Amino acid sequence: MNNRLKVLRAERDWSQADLADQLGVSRQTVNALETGRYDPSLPLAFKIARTFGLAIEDIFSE
Amino acid sequence: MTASPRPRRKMSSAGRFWLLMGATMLIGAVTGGVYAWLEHTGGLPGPVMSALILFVMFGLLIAGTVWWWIRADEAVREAHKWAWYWGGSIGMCVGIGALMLAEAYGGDAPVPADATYSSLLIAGASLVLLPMLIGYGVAWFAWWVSKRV
Repeated sequence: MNNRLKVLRAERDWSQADLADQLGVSRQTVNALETGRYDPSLPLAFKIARTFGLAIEDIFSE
Repeated sequence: MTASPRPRRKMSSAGRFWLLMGATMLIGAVTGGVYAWLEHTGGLPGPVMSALILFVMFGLLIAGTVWWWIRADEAVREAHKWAWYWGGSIGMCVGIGALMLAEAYGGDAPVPADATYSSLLIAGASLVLLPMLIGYGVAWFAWWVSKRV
């Protein structure tokens, strides 16, 4: 699954650690998400969407 | 787009992990130290008291692990579950294979003169546990490497 996490994070000038803190996950997890090699659970995907103020489909795509 | 304020930092996942590791080593060292001191001064406690001490020690370790697991995020948990299943299982296969080979081809080999019942028991258990631990570690590392760029 592809995602725009890295772009959205950069737009807000957040580091991976900043985003990790907001999501309550480790920095390594944010890195794994950004590479697209780890797909988040539905609860985490909703949390990511809420954090960026976007819909899930605006962040993730097949 | 305006930048949002940076969030305040809490203890990191790695920080909690090393805190747990440190507490584990401290509990192990204190228990070992108390046993060494008892052996030096007046003899070891009986088996019932020893079992009680071990029960408390492992209870503390399990409580610490539960504390850590509840706070671990889903990827951290997934890495450990994957490592437990694949690394642990393959390691167990290696260990059981080694036991089967030892049984088939080493059954008549003489036991070392200084071997005791407990030392042979520990050697047999280690033959299975060690490959499991190594397999777990390798699989855990491989999982995280596979998720990196």
